[in-house]
Amino acid sequence: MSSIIHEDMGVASLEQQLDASIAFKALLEDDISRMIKNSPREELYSYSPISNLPNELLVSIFHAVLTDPPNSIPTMTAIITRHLMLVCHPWNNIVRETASLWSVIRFAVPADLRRVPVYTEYVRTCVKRSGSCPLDIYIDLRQLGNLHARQLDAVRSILPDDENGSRDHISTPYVLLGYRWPNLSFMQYLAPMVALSGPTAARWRTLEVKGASWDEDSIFRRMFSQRYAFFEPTPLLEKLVLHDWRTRRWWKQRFLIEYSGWKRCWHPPFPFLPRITELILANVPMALDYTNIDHTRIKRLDIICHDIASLEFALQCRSVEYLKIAVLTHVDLTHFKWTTERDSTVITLYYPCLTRLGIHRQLPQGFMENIDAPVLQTVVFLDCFYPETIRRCAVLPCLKRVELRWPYVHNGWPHLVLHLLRMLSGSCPEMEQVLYAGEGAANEIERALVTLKDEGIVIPRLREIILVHQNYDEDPDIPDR
Amino acid sequence: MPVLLVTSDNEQFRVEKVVAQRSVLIKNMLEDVGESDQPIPLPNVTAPVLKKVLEYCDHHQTDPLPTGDEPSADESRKRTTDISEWDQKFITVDQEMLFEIILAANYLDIKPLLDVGCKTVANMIKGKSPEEIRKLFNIVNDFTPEEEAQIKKENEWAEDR
Repeated sequence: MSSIIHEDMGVASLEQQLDASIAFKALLEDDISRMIKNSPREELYSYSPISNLPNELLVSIFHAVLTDPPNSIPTMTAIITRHLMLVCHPWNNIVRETASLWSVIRFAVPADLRRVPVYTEYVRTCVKRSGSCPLDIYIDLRQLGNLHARQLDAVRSILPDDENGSRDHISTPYVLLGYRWPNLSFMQYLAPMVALSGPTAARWRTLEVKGASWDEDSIFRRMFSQRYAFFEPTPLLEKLVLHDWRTRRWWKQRFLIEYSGWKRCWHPPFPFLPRITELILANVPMALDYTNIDHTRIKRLDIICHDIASLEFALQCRSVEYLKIAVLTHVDLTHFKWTTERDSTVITLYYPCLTRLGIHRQLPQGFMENIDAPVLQTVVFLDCFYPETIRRCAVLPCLKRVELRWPYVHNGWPHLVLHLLRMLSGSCPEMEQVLYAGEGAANEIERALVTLKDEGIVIPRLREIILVHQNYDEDPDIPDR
Repeated sequence: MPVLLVTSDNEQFRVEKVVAQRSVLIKNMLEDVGESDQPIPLPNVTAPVLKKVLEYCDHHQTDPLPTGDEPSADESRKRTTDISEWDQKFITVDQEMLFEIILAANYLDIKPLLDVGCKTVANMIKGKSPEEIRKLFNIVNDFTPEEEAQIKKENEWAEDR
């Protein structure tokens, strides 16, 4: 009994001590807040070594903080700026007053519809606070893919049992959802993008959109349709990057528009791109008015050449450093001529800055024979390759790597690798690496190497032949299948 | 031909012209004075910092010099936070030295070094909460709770998600 009483006294004493400590801590906190309140803020900040940096250098650092690593799901820039603002008064003032820090607008449209209004508000705030600065916009729609499937499931569960009717509706989900389930309209996803449209287009410097891969319809189409598209010209746009559009249906519609003579009805969303230097339309069959683009400025280009005009544009980009073209028409460049109003000149394929070249689908006849690319290092033939067209190749003095992905092996030309290696031996003295993805690659390469040995052909610097054991369907480089 | 540089603490550094000319400031000064043995005063740089800066210039002496008229799309592409392995090792210094290097790079106009410094600080900040950033740089929280709440309220759409 006495021990319990003793312990109780001990506990009581400890509780008293704890109360005293809490009270003392509160007093100290009061003192500190009073000191903070009374001290000049500059003085407090000056205790930190980072305070030695002038504001313009801090702004450069903050800009670097806003940069995301490529291919990651983007962090909303607002979260970062908010963190910076909450560090201390000087930083808060810098972030608040520096318009350029609000000019980088980056977000991933969330799969959860309830969060979309937040993003719309974020975009509006950025647009307002960025003043008149050129805007760099990065939008990621990749998270929507899953939602699409979930939505369809949800829709299926509430639809009447009429199977045929359901199927029809589901084939155009955005219409269905807007009509039958207004709270789940696809148009809601576009709210942040619509907040960016209209007058801000005149301030766009970068527009990068990574899209969802959907089978049925694409949010891109809605985004860039006449109703929701950005009507204003984009005179400052330097970088237009649209990724991952793999809509088979739209692909077919594109052809429908092309070949049914409706082309003139199609309004390109970016009619005027006077300053564009980077034009990446990866798997996006979007029509552009190439006559309004200054090809001499283009440094990076990835487009689908569905007609001669677009191919002509691509081949005329002489300053290009990165060039990837999907050629959908058969073209023989051997006697090809540029045609202008006054004259026509024989084509020259001179690319003094080109370091990486990718060709998808049809390799134009005579292209490899006539190309003059003194610093070209890598060539990728993707889902194409007509060996007749590379039987002869111009000398490519810096070419080090060739990728041959999923070549067509019919046309009575089975020994692709052999012909490729023969070509490389004569034209590419620096060749180091060959990558081959295709059926029966190992056997073919083995046969080719034996034949080359018998013929006494040597590729002096070749040190690696990489075989890709991958299915065609799993190759991320193959866009639409 | 070597160039003589004099720091704020009066230490002298004799370096090859090609190394010294990584600094646009020094390059312009050399062009202005022409062929001369005159020492170049650098009143805003101390000896330990200049030693580090010259180490960087020496390693990068064969790199192409930034032209200054590059199109901004290229600039934005380069705007990543990647830093080469050598540069990373080079810039692994204490915070005080790091900020001194940044200031010196800014003063001497050595853009690539300035980029490395800024990116390094940016990488230190990335992914951290305001409290963690304060702790990292020894910054006193000078907000009253009311002020902090006000900022949070103004930007509540940017709540961490």
